[in-house]
Amino acid sequence: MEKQNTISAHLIQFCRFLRLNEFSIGPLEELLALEALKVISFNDRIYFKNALRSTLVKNKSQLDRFDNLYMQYWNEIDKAENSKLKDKAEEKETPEKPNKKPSLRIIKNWLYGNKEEEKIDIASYSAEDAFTDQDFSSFSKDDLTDALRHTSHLVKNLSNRKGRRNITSKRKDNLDFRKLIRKNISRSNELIQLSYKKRKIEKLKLVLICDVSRSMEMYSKFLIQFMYGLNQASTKIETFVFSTRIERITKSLSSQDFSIVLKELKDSFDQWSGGTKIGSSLLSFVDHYADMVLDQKTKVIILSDGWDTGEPEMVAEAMAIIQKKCAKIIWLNPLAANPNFSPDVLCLKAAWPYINVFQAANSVESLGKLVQNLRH
Amino acid sequence: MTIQQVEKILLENNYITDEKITMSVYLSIALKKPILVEGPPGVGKTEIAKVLSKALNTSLIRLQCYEGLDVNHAIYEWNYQHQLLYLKLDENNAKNLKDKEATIFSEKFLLKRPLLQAISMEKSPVLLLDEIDRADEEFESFLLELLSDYQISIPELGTIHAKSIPHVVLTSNRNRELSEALRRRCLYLWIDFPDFEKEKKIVEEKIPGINQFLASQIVHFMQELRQKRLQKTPGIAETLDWAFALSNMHFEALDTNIIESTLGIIIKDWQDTRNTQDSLSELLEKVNVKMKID
Repeated sequence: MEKQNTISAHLIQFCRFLRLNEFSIGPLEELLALEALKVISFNDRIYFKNALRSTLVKNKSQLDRFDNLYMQYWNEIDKAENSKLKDKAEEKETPEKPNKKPSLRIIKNWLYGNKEEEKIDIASYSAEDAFTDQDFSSFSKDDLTDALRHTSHLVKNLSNRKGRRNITSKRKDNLDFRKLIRKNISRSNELIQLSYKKRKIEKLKLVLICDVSRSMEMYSKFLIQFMYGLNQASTKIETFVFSTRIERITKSLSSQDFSIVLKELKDSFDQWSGGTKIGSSLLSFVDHYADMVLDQKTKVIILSDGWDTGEPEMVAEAMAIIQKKCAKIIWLNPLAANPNFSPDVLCLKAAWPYINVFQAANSVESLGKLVQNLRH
Repeated sequence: MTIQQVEKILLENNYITDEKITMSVYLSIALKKPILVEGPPGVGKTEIAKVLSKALNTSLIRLQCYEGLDVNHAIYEWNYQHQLLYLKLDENNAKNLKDKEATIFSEKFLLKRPLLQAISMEKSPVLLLDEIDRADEEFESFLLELLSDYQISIPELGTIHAKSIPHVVLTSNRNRELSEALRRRCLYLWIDFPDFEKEKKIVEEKIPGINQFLASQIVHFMQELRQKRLQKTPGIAETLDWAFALSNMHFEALDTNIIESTLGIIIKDWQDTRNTQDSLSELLEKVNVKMKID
């Protein structure tokens, strides 16, 4: 690609540059941008830039990168132009200089992002059994994502199940005959008012309470992904984390962009890997949130190893109240996979009578079991 | 219409704008392209459509999107009751079946919903599709057809072509990522919370008699408040409500008591209220420092 002199050629080159930077730009957008330039006076640099931004940017993340890329591009073009001027001066002395000017080749390479090094994305599927029964603590990042995508998918299927009840629908698919007759009973034999029904969706309601104290640090990556995955799957999920105090982090998890979620999480709770006070944390959950987030259809998942220095009586008290208010308590313990494991930690002993399901949470298989437990 | 004119019109209609907004609005008029506006709640996304309709002196047709919005509510519906009554009244008439059918499936019995209304008007209206992210994906893909061809097909009547192409404004709170296809058909505009200068201008524009000093304090306070991590960050609407209330009560300056007693206007969440109350004097301190720098 040679350096371009006309505006349209420049624009197309710029579009290519953006495309390399993961902008989704097709001929349609290029055309639109050209049309936009037709209706503004593009001599004004700010107008020019704004017009391109309005037409070529299609979402927030692109918007955030646009200014930077725009600057990069024109700086690079300016540089090339300067070096070309120099080249021209030299040309007078040595007219046989080869056509390909190094500066332009550099720009070309830069523009196309050095094709040879370009990474090729291959869609890959990693089979479940490849990592079944592997401990999460030894997982690499990619394995984890796969495992969680799998879980998230299962939960998603669960969370949008249609219930047995009917509700009135605005969509005109199924007539609700019972309502129809009731509505028109006064009009003898004419059916004037129609009524429709549909199956009500029963969202899976979950409350997730996660231990993020130091003893759980080894699993923290899994924990965060687990919380994120579940949040992506179901809309009716409330997430709490605790170490020495409890904090509601549902909102921090709501973004779809995982990097934003990580940042939000970091800001939202200041006691990651702190000490543990299960009892007082659970009690403060009962005081502040239980009435708001719990009902007889909600299942509570507590993810903790139960290692605590606090008083077991408090744990028992809190667990008793939570159990009364929810449908089911599932306690996930990453240590439970060990065959020698027995729940003889003080806090866990105290909580034991109130736990409906106790299971390990260290492998894909155990997550699969969890999903089964959520169903009923 | 030139870009300067657009800017002037927006200002005349009390919409404080910046160059990005002006450019997007101008291009959407000039290129006849829909404009997709995203941003946090309460920054004036919907307002753009309203001002646009005022500025262009045309009507505003608004479709509030929600989960389960379907063709019957967005485009057209046959007026079933009307049809039935007509047949009943017409019972003794010896018309043949075909005529009758043609009559009851004519435009007279068609209930026009916003989208059909928008394309059947003589003068291009402004069509506002509010909170498009709440509508289902099916509805979104239906919109694609409308936004690219500006025609709607009704099985009984045939295809209805647009008499005029409406100025379409879509707004979204990013509850759900919109499809790539829809984005590609639109110009994109992101409106963020305004900076101090812009917000102050807005306050002064919307509440003409307000004390200058109080206005600056209010805006500084809101700017500081947005820096905090809140469950629900207050938007411009809250600023205006608050400024309106305070200026109506003839306060000259903010102090902790005034703020505490009127906090409910700007903060609508229990936890946020508690957090803000705890750090009220700190916030006010910051505001006073900023006021001195000004």
